[in-house]
Formats: sequence, structure tokens, C-alpha cells
Amino acid sequence: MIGPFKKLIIGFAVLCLCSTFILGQHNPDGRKVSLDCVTCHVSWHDNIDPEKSLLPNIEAPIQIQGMPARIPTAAMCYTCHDGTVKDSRQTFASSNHQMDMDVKHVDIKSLPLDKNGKIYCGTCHTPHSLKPTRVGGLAPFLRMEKMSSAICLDCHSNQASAHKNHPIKVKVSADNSMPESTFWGKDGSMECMTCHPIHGTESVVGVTGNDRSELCSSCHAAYFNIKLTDHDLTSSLMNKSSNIGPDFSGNDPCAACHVSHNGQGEHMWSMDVDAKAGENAYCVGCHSDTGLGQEKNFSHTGHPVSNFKLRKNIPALGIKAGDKLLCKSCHDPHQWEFSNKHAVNTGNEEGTEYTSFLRLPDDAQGQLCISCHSGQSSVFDSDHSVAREGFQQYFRESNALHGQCTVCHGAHTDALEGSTEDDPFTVLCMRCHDGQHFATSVVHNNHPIGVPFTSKSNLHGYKKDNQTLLSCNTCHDPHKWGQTVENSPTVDLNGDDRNSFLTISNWPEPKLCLDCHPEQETLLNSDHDLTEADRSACSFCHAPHNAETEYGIFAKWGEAPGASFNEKHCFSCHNEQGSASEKLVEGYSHPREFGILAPPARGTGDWLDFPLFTEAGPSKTVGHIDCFTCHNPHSWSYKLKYQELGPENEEGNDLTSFLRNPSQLTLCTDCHGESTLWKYNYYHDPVKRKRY
Amino acid sequence: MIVIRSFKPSQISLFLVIAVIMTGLVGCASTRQTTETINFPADIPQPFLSLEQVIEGAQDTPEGLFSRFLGMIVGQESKFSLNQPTDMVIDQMGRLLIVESEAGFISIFVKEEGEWLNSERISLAEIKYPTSIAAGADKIFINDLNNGSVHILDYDFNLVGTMDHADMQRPGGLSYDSHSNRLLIADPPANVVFVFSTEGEYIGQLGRGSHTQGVLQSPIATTVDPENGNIYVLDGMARKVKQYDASFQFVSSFGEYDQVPGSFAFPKGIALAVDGTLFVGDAAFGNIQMFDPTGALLFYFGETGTDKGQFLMPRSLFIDQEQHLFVADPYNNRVQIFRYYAQ
Repeated sequence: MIGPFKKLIIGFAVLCLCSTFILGQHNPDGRKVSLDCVTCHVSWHDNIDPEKSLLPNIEAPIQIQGMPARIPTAAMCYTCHDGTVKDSRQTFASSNHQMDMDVKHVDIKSLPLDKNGKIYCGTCHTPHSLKPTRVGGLAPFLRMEKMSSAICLDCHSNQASAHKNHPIKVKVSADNSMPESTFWGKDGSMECMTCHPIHGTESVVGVTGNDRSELCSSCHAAYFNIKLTDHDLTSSLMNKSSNIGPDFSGNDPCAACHVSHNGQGEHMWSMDVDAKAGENAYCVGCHSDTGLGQEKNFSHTGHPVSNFKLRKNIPALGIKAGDKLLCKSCHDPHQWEFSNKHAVNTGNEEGTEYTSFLRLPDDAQGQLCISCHSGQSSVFDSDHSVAREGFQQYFRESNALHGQCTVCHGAHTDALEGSTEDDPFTVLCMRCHDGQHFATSVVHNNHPIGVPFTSKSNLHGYKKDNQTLLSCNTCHDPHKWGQTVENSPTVDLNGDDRNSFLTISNWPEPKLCLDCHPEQETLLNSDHDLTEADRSACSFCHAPHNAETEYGIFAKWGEAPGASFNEKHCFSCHNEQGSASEKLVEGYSHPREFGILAPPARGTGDWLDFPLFTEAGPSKTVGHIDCFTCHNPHSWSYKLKYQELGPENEEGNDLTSFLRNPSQLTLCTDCHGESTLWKYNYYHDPVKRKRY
Repeated sequence: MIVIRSFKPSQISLFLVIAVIMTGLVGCASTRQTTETINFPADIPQPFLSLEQVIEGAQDTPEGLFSRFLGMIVGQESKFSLNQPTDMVIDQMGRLLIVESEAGFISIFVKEEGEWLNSERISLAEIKYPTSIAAGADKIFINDLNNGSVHILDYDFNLVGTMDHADMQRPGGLSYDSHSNRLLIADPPANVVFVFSTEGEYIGQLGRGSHTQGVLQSPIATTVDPENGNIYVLDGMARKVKQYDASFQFVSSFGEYDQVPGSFAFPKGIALAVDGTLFVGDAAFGNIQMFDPTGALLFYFGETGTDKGQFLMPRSLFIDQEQHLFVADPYNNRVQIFRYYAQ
């Protein structure tokens, strides 16, 4: 019989043995583990007898960064995940991450690899992760977070660096058309697995072969308007290639220029680009002398785009104040035609002002240009509007662009490229104002151009030899008609001093003329100040275009009497029916058979001291006495103190009367000697004439 | 004779030498039957098993003498490799049907001159992820883990029906009960073995009940004694073999969780030989253990590896009427066929 005490001891011993059996599972570190661990970790079973164990020896363990790690091989996973338990092994059948995947091209930091240094299921997964349903759980049993792409970036950090790879952790619009099964990060952000399903059947979502059209357009639908345009290199340059890929024809419209990973620069370019050269480098890389788009070579003679900051917001172009002007400011490289998003061009088709990848058209309202150059919008209601018949005729006769601005201005090349003329403005204006077209002809007796000038207002001209020379643009601003006095938008207005595209209004005061000819200001308020409702004092006598004479650009005088053009000009008013009928000149002609040496020829002074004329005009050698020899019609008196004018039409004297400054070196005494005075009185004093 | 007489003796000798060399090349070029003798045990005159054939894929089936001759010279070109074969069965037509779970194919082999040769490889649109197969008198049964059901097909692989049950979660190991003309379906997550008629009608379940020993914990595979209808269930997580009678009554069990011979770690396949020997394959051990009906260990063979006669996590087992043991070796992408010399 066993006594109670002994029973107690035996029972206690049995209990200890049982406890040992039940609780005595040990891991290799000797720590006790629960039966749950032994469920998988067979080798931790307490009844281990190494010689009798049927478990295979692990010749080479799992490794982390080349060092052995106490992590089970795939065999342990497959003991249950062979279809026995519910798992996602069906999705393992893919070309994506799978067993025995080589890891040559990635930098694995902290994830385990099998004995051959290759990926296995345990690389990413561990049953020791908390259940996905639990707080902090990593689904599905991942070693690292997938929501933030942390597990991807542990190996593929070089695939996520900025400016070379497609960005991640960016919010994606809900309007995207990615499949429903797409993985999204926190708050709908894009993560690595958004495009790259780890165990899916496709390596990248929406990619078939080399065609990523479906993938890219799922989020960038608007950019897909590029298809079948000239920037769709798969169709326009199908036989060419970038420097990092196959022929464009083997690619999709996006991949011809963009690569998702390890591209060049911010836009993940598939071709070499000097990203440091700025945003325009992407364009100029092709649109250069040797680039793929050399037929549309960008020349720097056109609109400036370098280091050019904009001063205002331009919402229509998506520009903010301070932004640099770039190629893409005007161009959307993904859309050929402004108004038709899906427009295509049939391969290298020449663009128009409505296409050419412009963000806005350069139509009759010059939408694109006016978005920046709003101050030029006044051209739309002028005779320089392309809607007017003048330009319409020009378009019918030429292949010029029909845009309001581009008809004259070349956006990328000088509109006058190839011209050998020094004065580009005159060349441009004369394309229409040449007498052959609808525009007013300016080919006949015009104000001199190509001459140096001094302007109070620093009017423009053209540069040559460090000088500013006068040109059309000195007096005219082709964008601004000026004051329009007619109520209706009349086509082909006849201009006057109030408009006519003048840079400075010439009415009522002839400010434009006086800007260069200030010395003629004495004309104002004199008897010769004949300012009218539409003509300034200058324009009454002078016509800057189509004048009667080249010299003096005198306005037409009709059938005025006179032996010379000067006389005709003066007598157009100083005649019995004229406006100056009270000031008739009766006996006035110095004999014309006698030529007189001009002061420059005699070395006695300037031509203006004693101007002489021939039939052709002023003469600096030999000429005749004419009205302007003695009279300066612009100045009542040669002395300033006498310039102050009294009542209108005040009778003049020998100190006024528009007489020039008399000179002691006048020709009269040189030839006429003592009889000079007699002759002078005879010709100019009717009272004294009678005495003679 | 006339042809032979026209040759000189030296030429005839040369021809014979070439023929002998060709014959030898046949053995080298062919990838059919293993020429290496692998017996278990290896060191006794009468082994229990010997490896007869290793099926790794399909080989061209020579149709004519010239094709065979050409095959001798250049070897037999493998048309495809098995892609994770997980189960196999020999149907009433004598065809060997192998389930390739990774690829979703059913590969059909026929025996010619003692050798299994591939005749066809089919993919069934309705079945995405098969892992197990069984064959009845006139029907074939294939599971599909994709939709959690078992499909019934005719011998032309036309779908004729589907088996499912509200409690069915992940039907895995299939086996045909020829004694009662029933299909047994082991469902590990459901912890039961479903029993259906071959027409697809639900009959009952094994594994639930008041008898705690009869309760199953993740049954993996089953096999049935055609003589008496006893059902042997490989209870995976319990690491036991549990025996039930034909009326689903628990009879006995054997086995325990351990790592020594006679125990189980991750048993995956079970088969019953004509002499009552139970074969149990263990994925963790990489071997096949043989037990008598009482559960006493008789023998075990194989080990983890990739050589012939080794296994990488062996899966299902099948024994045909001629006592050939078929072992699905999925991670070596092959099926190994052993001849069991039943006692």
C-alpha cells in the first residue's frame, strides 16, 4: 500500500512531468514556448532526439544582409499554404514577386532571403505579424507596412527617388479609371502597389506588353489627347527611337517620352535631357538642329522664353505671377488642337493658329497672345484686325498664318527671317502697304525713314551701327488705331491726325511731329496754325505719306499757281480765292535765269541762312530765290521776343512776317552791292516801288 | 537477303556496331523510365519498393519506326514540365490523371509498354484552381479551391454537376469509395470529411460528433478499404490517422505529433495497399511512412531532396490495383511511381 504522503509525492512528480511535457517545449534558445509555436516549429518539439529526428538538416539558413537569421524557410510555409488553408496562393501564379526571384538589381536592406540569396515567401511575410484585423496588424502578415509602400521601398528605394520616378504618396483624383481591385494608400494616395500588384497576373496594372496606354490614361486621361498627334512618336516617328529604348513603334504614346522609373529629370524623360537647363530642355532636346523634331527647330529669334518671369497671373494658361515663361506656357504638348481635344494630325501636318499644340488659339481675337499682351487688344477693332478685308485678301494670296498676332509676328522665328533689309519694320509694313494690296499705299513721297532722329519721347526705330534710325514704328503703333470718331465699326477707316495708328496723337497739337521737330513749335498759334477738326497744323501743309513732293512732303495743293513747287505750295492759300487772300504777293520773282551760290557753296554759313532751291528741291550749291528763301512759314519772327503773338492776323513787319533771320552775309549785297537796298524796296515795298 | 549479300562483311560489322551504339543512346537520350535502380530498402535482396518511373512532363510519343529511330539519336524532347502536381488517380479507362494545381491543367497519361506517356493536357474553363482528383466508375471528380466546390465530370471531361454544401469551406483531398460508391471530400478548414454520392447528393460528414476522438482537426486526405469500406482519415493538425467504419463510426486512431519515425509532423497524403499497409507521406519529413492497420510503423523511405527517390514536401498518394504507389512531389514538379511488393 502506498501511503498518502507517497501518493502525494508521486502525484506531484507526475504533475511536473506532465507540465514539462505540456509546457516544456523549447526553442533553440532554450526558452520555453507554448504549444501554439510548436504547431509550426516542429523542431522545437520537446521530445527531440537529433539522431532519430526525421526533420531534414538545414544546410544553409535564411539570411539577412548575408548573415544567418533564425527565420524559417519556405518549406514551413508550404506545409500549410499548399492549398490546405485559405490563402491567396492563387495570386502567386504571376510573373511578379514569386519564389526564387533574383535580387541582383535591388538593395535589400532588412528583409530575409533564402539560402541562395533569392526572394521567398518569408522575405515579405511572417506569421508573427499581428493579424491584419488587429490594431497595428500588417496585412497580410507582412513584415513591413504596405500601405505606405515601406515594404517595397526597403528593396526598391531607388525606384522612388524624386525627379526620376513616378511619384508616390500623391493624392489621386477620384475620377481615375483604375480597376476596382487597385490598391490605394492612405487617403486614396498612390503607392507602389497601385500600379504594381505584387501577386497579380499582370506585372503592372493595365499594361499589355509594351503598351501602357491603359495604365497611364487611367489617371492622366487628359494627356492621352496626344495619341496620333505629332507628339505621339509611335506614329509620327515610328522608325526612330530614344536612347534608352526600342523603336517608338514598339511602345505606347506615353512611353515614347516618359518612363516610370529611372527617367531623366522631373518629367521622367526617356531621352537624355539636361534637366539643369530648365523646363524648356525637354522641348529643346527634340526641337533642335539635331533633335528628333529638327523640322520644327526652335530658334531663338522668336518669342523670348529664357529667364523671363511673368508679372501677373494668367489663369487661362495656368500661369501665376512670378512664374517663368516657358515653352509649356503657350503649348500643351499633349493636345494638338485647342478646341478639339481628340484632334489628330495626319503625321507631320503643318500646324495652324488653332492647332500646333497651343493652349489657346491665335484666332481673330488673338486669344493666346492677348492673355499676356492684353494691352494690344485694341488691334481687334482696327483696320489691322485679320477679320478685315485687307488681311483676308492677303490670306488668299499667301500661306501666311491667319492668327491675329502671328500674321505679323513669328512666335518661334523672326517673321522676317531671311530678309536682308536692315529695317525690318518697313519690310513688314510694306508687305501690305505696297500699293498692291488693300491697305493704304505708302510707296510715294513719304516722310524720310532710315535717318537718325532725336525724339523727346524716345520713340522707337530700328538699330543700326549704334544708332536708332527712323522707321514705320517710330510714328505708328500698328496695334492702336487711336481715337475713333465714327460711331459704327466702319471697315477700312480713313485715318487722320487723331488715329491712323499713330504712336502719339497728332491732334489737336501736332505732338508727334513736334516730338522730333520741336523747333517748329513756333508754328502754333501763328497765322499759319491752320488746325482743323481732323488735321493738325502740320498736316495742313505736310503729308507724311503720298505727299506732292518728296522734299518737304508737302500736301497736295491742287491747281495752285506758281512757277516752283514752293510757290505752288504757298500760293495754294495766298491767292485771291485762297484762305490767305489778304496776303497776296504781287511782284516777287527774282530772275530765275541767274543761279545763286548757296551759303554752303560760298562757305559763308548753313543752308538755312539763305535757302536756295531748284525745281527738284533744296540746293546746297546753286539755286534760285524762292518763298522759303526769305520766309520760314513755321515761325512768325526769327526773334523769340517778337514771337509772342497778338490778335489773329496781325499785320507783320520786317521783324516778323515769317521772315528768316537776316544775315550780314546775305547774297544780295554780294551781287547787287549798293543797289541792294533799292532793289529790296522795289520788290518788297509797294509804296517805294511807286517812287521808282 | 539480297540486300545483305551486297554488303561486305566489314560493312555489316560496322552497321551492327552503329546499331549497338544507337541502342545505348536510347537509354541516354530518353527521359522516360529511370535506368537507375532505386530500391527501398536498398540493401536487401527483396526490397519493399522500387522506383519505376518519374514523370516530370510530357515526352513525344513516337508513332513510327523512323520517328523512334530519330528519337534514339536526338533523344525525346519534353513538350512541357509538370507544374506543381498535387494529386493523381487512375480512372476506369486506365488513364493516369494528374492535377497540376499551379497551371490548372489536368495531364492525361496512358501506359504503353509499361511506361506512362503523356497523351493530352487539358484545361477546364470551369475549374481555376484544382488540387485534388478522384475517379469513380464513370465519373471524374475534381475540386476547385477558387470557388470552394467539387465538380463532377464525365470521362470526356464534360462538366455534369457540382457538389457543394453550406458547411463546405475548402474541399481538398478527394478519394473514391469503391466499396460504397461514394466520394469523400476532406475539408481542412471545416474540420470535416464530407461524403457525397457520385451523383452529387450529400450523404453525411465525418469528424463531428460526441466522440471526441473522432473529432477531426483539419483533415487533409482520406483513403478507403475497398474490402470493408473502412475509411482512413489523415487528420493533419492532430497528426493522427483516424479510422472510421463505413457508417462513419469512429474506430481507432494512431499517430502523434513528433519528429521521430512513426510520428507525424505535417502529413499530407495517405494510401492503402491491398495488404492493408497504410502509406502516409509527410511534408516536413519529406518521406513516406508505412504502417500496419494497427498503426505500427513498418518502414519509411525517402528524404527531403530533389534526387530521384527524394521528395520535396510530398503531397497526395495513390495506389493502383497493381500496387504501384504514386507520390505527388509538387515542389519537384514531378510524380514518382514506386512498385510496392505487397506482402
